[in-house]
Amino acid sequence: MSSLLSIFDLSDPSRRFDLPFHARLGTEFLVFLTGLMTVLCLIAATASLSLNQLANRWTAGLENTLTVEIPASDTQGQTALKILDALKEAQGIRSAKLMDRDDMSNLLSPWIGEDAAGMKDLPVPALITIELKDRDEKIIRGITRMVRDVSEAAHIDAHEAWLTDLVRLTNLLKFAALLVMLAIGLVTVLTVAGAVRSRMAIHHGELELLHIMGADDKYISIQFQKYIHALTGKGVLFGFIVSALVVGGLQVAAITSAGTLPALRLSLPQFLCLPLLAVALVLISGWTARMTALKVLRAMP
Amino acid sequence: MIRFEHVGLRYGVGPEVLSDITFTLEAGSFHFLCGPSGAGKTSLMNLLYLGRKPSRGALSMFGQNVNTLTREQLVPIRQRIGVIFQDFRLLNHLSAFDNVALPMRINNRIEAEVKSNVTELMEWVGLGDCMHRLPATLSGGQQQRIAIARAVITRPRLLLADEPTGNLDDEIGMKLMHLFDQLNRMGTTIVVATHNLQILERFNHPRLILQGGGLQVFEPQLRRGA
Repeated sequence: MSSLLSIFDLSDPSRRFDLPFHARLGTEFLVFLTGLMTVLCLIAATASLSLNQLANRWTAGLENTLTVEIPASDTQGQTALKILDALKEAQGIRSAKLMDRDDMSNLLSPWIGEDAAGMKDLPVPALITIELKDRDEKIIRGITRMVRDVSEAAHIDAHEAWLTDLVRLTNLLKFAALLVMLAIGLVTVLTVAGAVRSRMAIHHGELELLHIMGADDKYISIQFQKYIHALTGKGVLFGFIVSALVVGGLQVAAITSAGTLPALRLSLPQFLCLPLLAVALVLISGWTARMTALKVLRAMP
Repeated sequence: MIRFEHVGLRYGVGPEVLSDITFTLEAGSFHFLCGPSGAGKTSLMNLLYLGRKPSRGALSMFGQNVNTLTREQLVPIRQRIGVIFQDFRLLNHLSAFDNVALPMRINNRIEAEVKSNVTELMEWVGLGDCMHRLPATLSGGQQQRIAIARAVITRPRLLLADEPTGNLDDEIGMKLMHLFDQLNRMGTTIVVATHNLQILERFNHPRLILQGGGLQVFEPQLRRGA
């Protein structure tokens, strides 16, 4: 572990760099900045990855179901039973069930309380839940026709609006998370480029000396790349630890809060994306450092 | 080996600090570069170590026209040149050993070779026991020897020294000049910028004399040892 951490060690001036990068000349803030960026980036990524699972949880059971609603005014004439009979002939249906008084009472209890007797005087519609084998528009149209043949007043809810809105919201949030990650990447790139330019201006004399001794641009730019790798690597490591604690804390809170908070459960491939994202941040920073150094060096004689 | 033809140099849009410089340095030659302060010695040295390109005229080094070379193509030419600066220009965060090793590492030499050559050379210049000390902890004379060792570690074909004795007492200055003589006898072309009359008289090499931005070549009549 100590040898692994030694790659971040800039305190030994003679170890790897020809330029005095160990001197604290104002670019050390990159450790803090990349740490912060890593936390934001990983939390955004975790949120984005969790959204799919959250949407799946919210829509679970709705994709292949239809609900037939028979208005209260039509419940006296056995309409619901007639519709159930008619549905026996329909294709693509796994099951069809009329919700009984207990089911209705459970559904309404948050509004009218646990006293089912109170339901007697309410104009409660009858509900038939249909489970489809597959969500097929042709089958849904056939069922709608059958239901309308029995009762013009019956309403069929295929939950499309709910599902569409949810998918739209999920995609919007995922896009927002992606934008946040792109913004973080851009800020990191611009900051690293600025830091490298500043450091090159400070070490202009040393750079000139290296050129005179026959160092090419690649040799010098690699030094800047390694320096930035060391700084951002340190920041990203701390950022990764902090974001792991934050995500872990949210997950524990979700588990212990009895369903009021969405659970942040990631699959193994999704979980592996997070350290890869952190590594990508280091690599992008290093690449930026190298490109910036090459650009500045090209302007030298 | 090195040919200046009507070379001029100006910084930005200012006046020419060197104008119409024409001379040739043959391989294995030894020249002094002299002239009053402000005559352009440092600027001419700058052209010789390819710190700048001429503003006009043709500069040819090792058979290649420097004016037409790209930055990448200048690199192997620079690697054949060793430079000793008046102010040494050592990297103060590196040990004496690492300073001397730097040109070899830039040339991608293997570390075992670096260690062996640097150790041998540092012992030769009398700094075998100072290898791991930082330049700031060494005397001016010791720093000068590190700068010399760094300049010669890759066996350059051209060695440029800008006022190398300026910070040394006479005795060490003379020893240094004998060291340059030795290197010259081994085939290194040498240009020493100096205004030290004692050295100019003692070592009777041809002189490139800069004055008013122009240059004259003066060949002494009496050669050393003649």
